Amino acid sequence: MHEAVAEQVAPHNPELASVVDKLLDDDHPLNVTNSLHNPELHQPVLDTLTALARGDALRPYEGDLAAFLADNPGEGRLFDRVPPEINRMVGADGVERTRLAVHVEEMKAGDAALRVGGHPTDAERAAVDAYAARLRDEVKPAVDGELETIVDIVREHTDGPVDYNSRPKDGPGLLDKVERMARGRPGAPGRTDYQVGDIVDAVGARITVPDMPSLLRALDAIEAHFGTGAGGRIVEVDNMYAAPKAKNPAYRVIPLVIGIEVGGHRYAFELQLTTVRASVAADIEHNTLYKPYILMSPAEDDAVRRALREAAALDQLEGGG
Amino acid sequence: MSELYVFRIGEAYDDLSPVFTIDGRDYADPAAAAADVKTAAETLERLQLIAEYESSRVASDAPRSALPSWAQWRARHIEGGEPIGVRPRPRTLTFPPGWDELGAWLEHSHRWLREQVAGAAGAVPGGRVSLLADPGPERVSRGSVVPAEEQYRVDCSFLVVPPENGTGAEALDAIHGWLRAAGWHVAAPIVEPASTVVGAVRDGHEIAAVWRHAGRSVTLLGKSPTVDAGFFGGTA
Repeated sequence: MHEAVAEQVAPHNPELASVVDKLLDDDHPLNVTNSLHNPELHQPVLDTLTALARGDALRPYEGDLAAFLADNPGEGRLFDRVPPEINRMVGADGVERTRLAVHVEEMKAGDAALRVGGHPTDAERAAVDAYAARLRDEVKPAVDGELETIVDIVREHTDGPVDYNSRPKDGPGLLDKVERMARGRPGAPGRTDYQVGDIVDAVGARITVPDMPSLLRALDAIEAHFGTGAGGRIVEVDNMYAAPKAKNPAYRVIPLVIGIEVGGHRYAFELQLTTVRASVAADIEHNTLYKPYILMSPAEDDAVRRALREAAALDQLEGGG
Repeated sequence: MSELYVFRIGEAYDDLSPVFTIDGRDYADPAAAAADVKTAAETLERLQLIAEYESSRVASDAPRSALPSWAQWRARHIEGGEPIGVRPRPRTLTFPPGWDELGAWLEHSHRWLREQVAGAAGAVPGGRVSLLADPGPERVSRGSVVPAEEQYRVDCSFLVVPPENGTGAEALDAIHGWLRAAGWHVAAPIVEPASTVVGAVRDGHEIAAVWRHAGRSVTLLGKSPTVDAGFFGGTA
């Protein structure tokens, strides 16, 4: 594996190659290193790393993604800002609110387990455990069933790898999150009114596609299947291609929160849409800059950040049209 | 296609590592695999281990995971008693003395460091400055069932692109001068074949300015000291 990295990645960017080598030697299994060891994914991921190492898209801009985006605003719907009516609505009382907040309120109203807060009684813990069992045994299979039809649509149009995975949180995991959110953590003040129902990724799913046309196809299929706006089941879309995050402007993913009804109860799940390129770059960034797995020199730190920006630029150039 | 379930465990829900799989191809039917998934999840929960599983679909001829199966892992760690490597979660989290002070210090450090890094980037005459990342305080240690053991840091990074007639070396000089004037202790540049790095420290904070010789832009990487609640009156 090191030989392949040395041959393909190192000639363009020895610092990025060094980081990948260190991750390969580390015993914490990461998506990117697992993919490099997977015969099906090895070459696509190695090619992605090579493209990120080359840095062709941002070289004329000296690595400045903001300047690149000014010249390359992106073509097609993936780069259009999400219309306000997708995420917001005006209630019968004339007050404008987010669709997500309304959905969460309705979920909580119909399910006592979702109103459990930071200091649960034994009875409340039992209710949350029963809720988590429903997530595992009923909601996740229902989510998988709906999303696998979307994945099949995307797979029909590409030869590249399309990955789908999902996971439910368990009862202790839900209560742990409520407790941490209520208490607050360094840099994030506590939300004392936080409840189990506020965890909209209690079931989380992710579709990773090989390219931007596939990403657009996935988004189109999801919007057609679940619907947006009034009467739709998609209650929040956060498209970072159209509106990058101020605090990490190179990070790219499209998270959606979608409502689902199973067994007479209302739930929500989070679906993340991403490209292999964005996923590889974010996986390296997250597991090097914010995890204590490997030691990095400043030049390697810089190389990792440049790779994340290059991934965003390449996605932008590829577009979705 | 079959379902592949990957179970992950750890000491915090945002810091889990994969430990075993349940591969639908090893079972007579999906219901049998699902039954084992339920048993495995309930076993880990009974052991009070922080755990999660993720499922995906795999083709019948897809490569096998290098992770052990549930049966192998159970035989080794539950029936065989080999240490699992993570501690069980407590019934409730205990936040240590110094936790709130830790948060307040990091927030102050975050604001101050951002000003300093942005100031250094802005010292390049005619330079174009952009923010790369400003995530705020982040945990940089492994997640722990004991919050007192968790370590945090603030990172902040900017890019500065000198004007067309400028060079990376000149940009580094300007940054060096600004940092020195602002009270930072600036070390001699470290010159490598592909890059030059200027490092500076002040009050435990670090700023590294990285110029890759292939271009003329300079990346500024700011880091606070890594701290835990023990620094502020707690005991780790």
